[in-house]
Amino acid sequence: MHPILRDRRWLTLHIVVWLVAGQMIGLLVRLLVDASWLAAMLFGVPLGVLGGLAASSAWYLTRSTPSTWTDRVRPIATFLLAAIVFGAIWAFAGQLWWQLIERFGLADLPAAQHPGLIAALQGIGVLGYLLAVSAYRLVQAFEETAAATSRALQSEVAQRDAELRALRAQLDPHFLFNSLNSISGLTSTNPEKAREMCQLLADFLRQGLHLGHSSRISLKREIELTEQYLRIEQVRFGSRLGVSVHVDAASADALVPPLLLQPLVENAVRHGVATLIEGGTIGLETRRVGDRIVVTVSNPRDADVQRRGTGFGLDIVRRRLAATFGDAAALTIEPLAGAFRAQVTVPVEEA
Amino acid sequence: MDEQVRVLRAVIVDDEEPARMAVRQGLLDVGNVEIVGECANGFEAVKVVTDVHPDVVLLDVQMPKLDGFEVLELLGREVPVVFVTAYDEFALRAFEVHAVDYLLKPFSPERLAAALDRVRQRTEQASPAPAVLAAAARPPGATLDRVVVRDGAQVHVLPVDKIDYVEAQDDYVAFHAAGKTILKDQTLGDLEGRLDGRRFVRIHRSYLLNIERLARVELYAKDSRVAILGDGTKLPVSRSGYQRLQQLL
Repeated sequence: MHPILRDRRWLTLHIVVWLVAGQMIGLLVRLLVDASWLAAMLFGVPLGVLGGLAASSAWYLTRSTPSTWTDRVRPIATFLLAAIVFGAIWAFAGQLWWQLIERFGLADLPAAQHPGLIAALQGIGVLGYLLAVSAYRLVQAFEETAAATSRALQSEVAQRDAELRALRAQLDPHFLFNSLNSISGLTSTNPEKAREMCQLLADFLRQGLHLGHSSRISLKREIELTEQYLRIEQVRFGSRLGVSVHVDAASADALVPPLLLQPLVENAVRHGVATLIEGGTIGLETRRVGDRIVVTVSNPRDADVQRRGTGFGLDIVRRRLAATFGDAAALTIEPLAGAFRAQVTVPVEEA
Repeated sequence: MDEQVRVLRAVIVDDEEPARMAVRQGLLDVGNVEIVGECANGFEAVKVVTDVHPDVVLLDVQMPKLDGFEVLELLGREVPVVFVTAYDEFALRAFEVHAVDYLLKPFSPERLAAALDRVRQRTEQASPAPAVLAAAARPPGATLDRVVVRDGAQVHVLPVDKIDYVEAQDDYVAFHAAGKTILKDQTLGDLEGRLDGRRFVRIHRSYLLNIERLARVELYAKDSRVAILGDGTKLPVSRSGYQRLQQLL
């Protein structure tokens, strides 16, 4: 929005500048021509306000050129040309105004205009316009800096938030309680399996605690972690939960935030395989496409269930992607009647 | 062991095998229980309970196709239910639907024994009607997205978007869906409260209409209208029903 339209303070500032400019013109007239103070000001002040109002349009010109100039010549040439055209039109308007005042006898001005005055008006117009451009450019730069700072802060907050949520998601109490319950059930009938489950759970939790300190891990490591989680769930669900993993070697070293995929596989279990009496297989696939890595998590699900999850898990993944990769990463979902597919695309960042 | 303690015949329902093992082992530890059935889903549970008439059902909440609350809605009148779940947020609802007790996974043998004692005390009491259970079986504010109906050992699961309209018939409601009719022991008023009010409109004292099936409303006589559905079915619309319909449209 144009600064004039923002609030009263900006408007007042503009008007003050215009009036001061008008008085300076009046002063100039008084110095060059034999005219009364009243006549000089009657000529100068309206002309100054008109010029100021017209020069405020420079805002739109500065807005239309990016503040981070890659091409320096073109914007400067544009501004200069605009300033010269502005100066000429304004000086012409000044001549008209002079004639109007003189012809209708509004004030006591000499019939002949001082030739130097017109040249001075042209110069003032050009300089005034360039001044307006610079002032607006300054305002624009301040605003961009403020916006960038706020964006950086927001992204940092989102990152922290995501880390916290990821950690909490990993320690989903229901996952823990269900795992402990499985162990409790296995102790008497299948103690070996119970011990194995304790081992799996301890490994998974220990890794999660260590990873809390790193901001990036290799995709290979992330997939291993995910597989570990699924092995624990496989003890719970038995033959109902199948897992199929395919990691493309070209994508193995790409870097991702730790536990990025966790909410996706959790959903695949809870809202997918767990909703089917016969169960199903969760697919985990990574591949490299050009300078991007695509990770796909797919699962079958009950086609009749209408109410699904809250989208909380997907939201976490989206926020973490945005905080880590900005616009370069994406999460796309494909909700089909009897299946679900989530696809994470990240730019390649190798260690 | 006290000779007076009655042996309870129990059925275990959980879709996870280790979880069934945990309950089985718990019951064996507590004693005075005979395990007469183990089921991996709600359909099996309804069938087994119908066949063996147990004294108690130990029921998981989160299961595929038919969750624990739906199983209780179908069986509640016949058998005391003890919920066994990892989710403590279901506890309040569990007591609202008159579950005898609520065990959190993993549970101790003492806690299980206490639950079974409650079952022994509770057996003499009369259970509330299924309609009451059905009404309470969902958290307030949440609407049903499927209706479960039991026909002996058979269970019908009817997604609400498949329902054309519901008709009151004495103490029953008749669900009309794609030309078929399914009866359920419930009142239309109870049902109306559980369905999404933006989708199902009470167009008449005896009719609840899925608004997506409505083709048009015609004036039949003075102050009397009929709703014509997409398949040509005609249903009476009362004056207040017409007002509700207009509000929604």
